[in-house]
Amino acid sequence: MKKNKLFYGLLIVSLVLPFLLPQPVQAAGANDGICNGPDGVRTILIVGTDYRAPDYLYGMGDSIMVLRVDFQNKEVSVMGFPRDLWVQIPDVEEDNGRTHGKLNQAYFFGTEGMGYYDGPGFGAGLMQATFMQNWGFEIDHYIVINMRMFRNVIDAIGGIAVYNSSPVYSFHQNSPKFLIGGYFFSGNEALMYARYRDPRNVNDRVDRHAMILMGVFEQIFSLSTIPKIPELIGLYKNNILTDMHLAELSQFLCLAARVEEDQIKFTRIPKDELYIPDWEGFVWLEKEPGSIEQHLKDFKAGTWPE
Amino acid sequence: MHYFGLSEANMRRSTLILIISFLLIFLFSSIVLYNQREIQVKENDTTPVPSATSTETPQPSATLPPTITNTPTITPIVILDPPPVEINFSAEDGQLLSGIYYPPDSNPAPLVVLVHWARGDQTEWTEIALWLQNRSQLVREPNYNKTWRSSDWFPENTSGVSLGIFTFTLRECEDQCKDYLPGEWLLDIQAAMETAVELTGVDKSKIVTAGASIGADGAVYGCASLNQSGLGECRGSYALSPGSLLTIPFENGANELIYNDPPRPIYCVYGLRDDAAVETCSAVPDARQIDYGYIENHGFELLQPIQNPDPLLLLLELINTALSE
Repeated sequence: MKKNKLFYGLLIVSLVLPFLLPQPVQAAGANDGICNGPDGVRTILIVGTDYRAPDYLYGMGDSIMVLRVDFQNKEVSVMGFPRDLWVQIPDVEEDNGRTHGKLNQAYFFGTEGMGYYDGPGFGAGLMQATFMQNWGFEIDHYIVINMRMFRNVIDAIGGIAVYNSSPVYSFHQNSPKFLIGGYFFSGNEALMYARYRDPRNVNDRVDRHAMILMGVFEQIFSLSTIPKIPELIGLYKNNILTDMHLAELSQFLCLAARVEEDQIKFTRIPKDELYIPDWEGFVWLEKEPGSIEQHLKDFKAGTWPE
Repeated sequence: MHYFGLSEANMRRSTLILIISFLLIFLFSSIVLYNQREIQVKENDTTPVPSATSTETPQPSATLPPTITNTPTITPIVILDPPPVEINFSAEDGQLLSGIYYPPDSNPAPLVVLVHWARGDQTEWTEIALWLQNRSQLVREPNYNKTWRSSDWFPENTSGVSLGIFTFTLRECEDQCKDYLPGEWLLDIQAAMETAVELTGVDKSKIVTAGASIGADGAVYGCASLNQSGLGECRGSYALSPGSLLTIPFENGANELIYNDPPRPIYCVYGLRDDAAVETCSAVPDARQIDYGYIENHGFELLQPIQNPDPLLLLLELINTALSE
């Protein structure tokens, strides 16, 4: 009888003991990646719209970039897309009657004002769906900024330094608007630099947008701006569109601050893989179907650009 | 009856030994597994609770003369002189940090840990620390650049209580932050909290935190993580313009405090043009919300004599509420 009691006593103690011991508590919100970021890669769609009003009711996606942020390997890379890329646009045929359009229209058709898209995220949401539909590429988050805010933010951080690596022409002019060399732009000047357009050169604008993004990074992490980061986020958070939680934004900034400027990789679809078809003016199509999809797969895997 | 050549008695003994061995192994495994889980949690946690090492502890500069009695177990109560004492300590990753301790006039006494913003260092809190310390150290004079350092408008501290105050400077933030290191700042805050509860004269069960901007995020995080560590008891936090800018959501720590039993009060103070602070405080609806209207003021800039209610009286109110729980 005593042995039985001992047996059951020990059994109960051994079963209950692990639950009675004090439970260690994980620090609130901590993740596995660097800067408490997620374990692995996150992608962020960045869209600069051509809308001049203070809101986001309408607008075309003028500048389209995807940011790849690797919280395990401390890497940031950026891929730019030409706005005139011809794509299949999902979910709008019923309201809009269209199944295809330029990539920048994917944003436009989804805007709140157009009202063709019922999914979340309005224009950015439709653009995310467009990436998925055309290339099977899933984008985790989005940040959208309109022209007014683009100007204001650049002014608020004190302007940006940009090195222009090739002459910039506007469409109808023969003399370059920006010569090769270094510039320090105010918000307005940066906007002008971003918007000059030569449709004959598919990547000219994409490259300039990458330069601007680089200039913004550099200026944000300059000695004069770092102390102001919290209040700048406070002032502009609701003037941009994003689905990122402030903590996620902070994780991204934290990681970006650790990546040396020259370690940020920029890429875009190689010019020789695109062509202008004769059935539509100024749209770009891929020569080999599947090539963009492959580039995006490699981009996400971190194997392209090398 | 014989089993495999063993007598029944031997068989029973063997079975009993086997069962006891099994139970011992089970018990041992449970303990080992528990410890491993704890270690794993710490490894997974990128901001583990650091073991802060105070490299310099304040020496008692004034002690009450010990009463000579027949009971030698009574130790003298040490009360430090009013002037602030410099405290050096290190974060878990070895980063050396400097803090300032404003000793209270009693022992043990509650302690308030103050966390600064990115536009300055711990000296941003100097005048408020002296005001809260309440030991006649504050010289009331205007500061025409910074209202939060302009002690001429500070309300009378009529609490009649002298609190211990601990401030410290986050790494790379002497004068102002020169790098954006939110992950490391969490380590600094944890180390500061651990250091603070060990200071002479501190009642480690009566800790309150306050902070501005990233310091507001840090104050709530520090408060919650101190409670998690079990090294002390943080009773509430005063947050001026939090923004979830230390890589973790402000609401995680805040909700942990608010839904504690008993609840730990949080005061969330902000201007309505500060989108990040509005969004952050809204995520903690059960915190006391104090908005100062449509102003852009952020962090310390909210500490203005024109604000109604007076932000410093609110701070006193939070401290009193937290400590009276």
